Amino acid sequence: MNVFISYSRKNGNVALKLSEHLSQSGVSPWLDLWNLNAGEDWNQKIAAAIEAAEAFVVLVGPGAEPDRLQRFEWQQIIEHEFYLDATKPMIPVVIDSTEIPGFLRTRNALVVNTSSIDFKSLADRIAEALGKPDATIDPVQLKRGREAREQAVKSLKEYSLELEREDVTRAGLRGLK
Amino acid sequence: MSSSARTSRAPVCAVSSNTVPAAYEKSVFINCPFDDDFQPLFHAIVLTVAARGFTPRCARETEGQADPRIVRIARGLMESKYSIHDLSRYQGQGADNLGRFNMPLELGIALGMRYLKEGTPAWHNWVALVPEKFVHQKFISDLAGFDPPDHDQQPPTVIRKVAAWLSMQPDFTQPTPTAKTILEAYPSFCDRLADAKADSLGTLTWPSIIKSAQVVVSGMPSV
Repeated sequence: MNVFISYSRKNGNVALKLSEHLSQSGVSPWLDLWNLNAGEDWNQKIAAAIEAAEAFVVLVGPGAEPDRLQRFEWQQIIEHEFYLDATKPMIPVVIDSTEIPGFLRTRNALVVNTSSIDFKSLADRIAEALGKPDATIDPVQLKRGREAREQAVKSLKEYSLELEREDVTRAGLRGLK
Repeated sequence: MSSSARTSRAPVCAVSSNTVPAAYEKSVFINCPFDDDFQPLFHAIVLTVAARGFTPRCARETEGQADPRIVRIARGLMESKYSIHDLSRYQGQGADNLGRFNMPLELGIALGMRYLKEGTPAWHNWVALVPEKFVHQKFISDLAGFDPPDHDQQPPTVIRKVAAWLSMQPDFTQPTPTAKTILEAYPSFCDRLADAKADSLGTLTWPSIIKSAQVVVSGMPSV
């Protein structure tokens, strides 16, 4: 299976070691370090690799913000809306308790600590999950998401009603002047 | 402030309006031109924000209040965890060919909130939308390194870019309407706005924009 590895370049060593172990587990990781050459249009090659990927492993953190290249990768994944495709395995690997971005929230995340990563075990867990796309979805988060969606629609309605009430009040005050 | 307070209402701030029942972490303040030329893009942003499960806010919400406009904008920003700043109109206008600096000024307020309030419940995140072909590197070069999303002044691109940025935020949840669904609903949203404008004798108010968005969004399928 052709798996795109998305990572912040400060996690270069983690991405490299994980990709090596994934290769030994029968997975074909697409890692920029192995596939980009000097003189090429890197963005174009990364975008093409994301479009061709059958699955994604996304290293998240440490720190809340992805770096520039990873932000580009996420934009590609999001703009193609691959994260909304339940048949496409997407596995977040969260490093050092980083807050997970919204688009990965409904996926089952593997949480690791940089100081003690067992790469073989992590690669085996990822390889196993890749074989069962349904297992990469977190049903609890999906249920919470449905509730949040209902709440969002309700909140928008409340906001709309509040604005209408204020509008009527202001119109009344203008009428008094 | 406790985390429970964070999930209910805006953080207490010196210029709180006390009027809007929108949760801080779901409020997205939209900072863009409000003139007729920009209206299709403004409406595209409003619809996308609402469809993605957030509450659109903007300076038009407090039109008619006595406070100066910049105070109303600062207040709206402080009540919103997120903000969208469109910097795509960068050329001079009118007979004197003067540039307008309101958008960058207001982006500056958001930047201040982003970095001064990092790690606090009032943490803020922003995005600047810029014109295509990296022109922004000439007129606002200090944004170098942020790779702000660019657009071609067309609603489909703006919808795609705003939907993508919102999806990256920690308060985004699934299921959600796809960008394609939002784009397909956009013409019916515009039709509703045209009707609302006609009903109000040519004036399109913020309450009627939000009401139209709410009606359109509540009928959208989500995945």
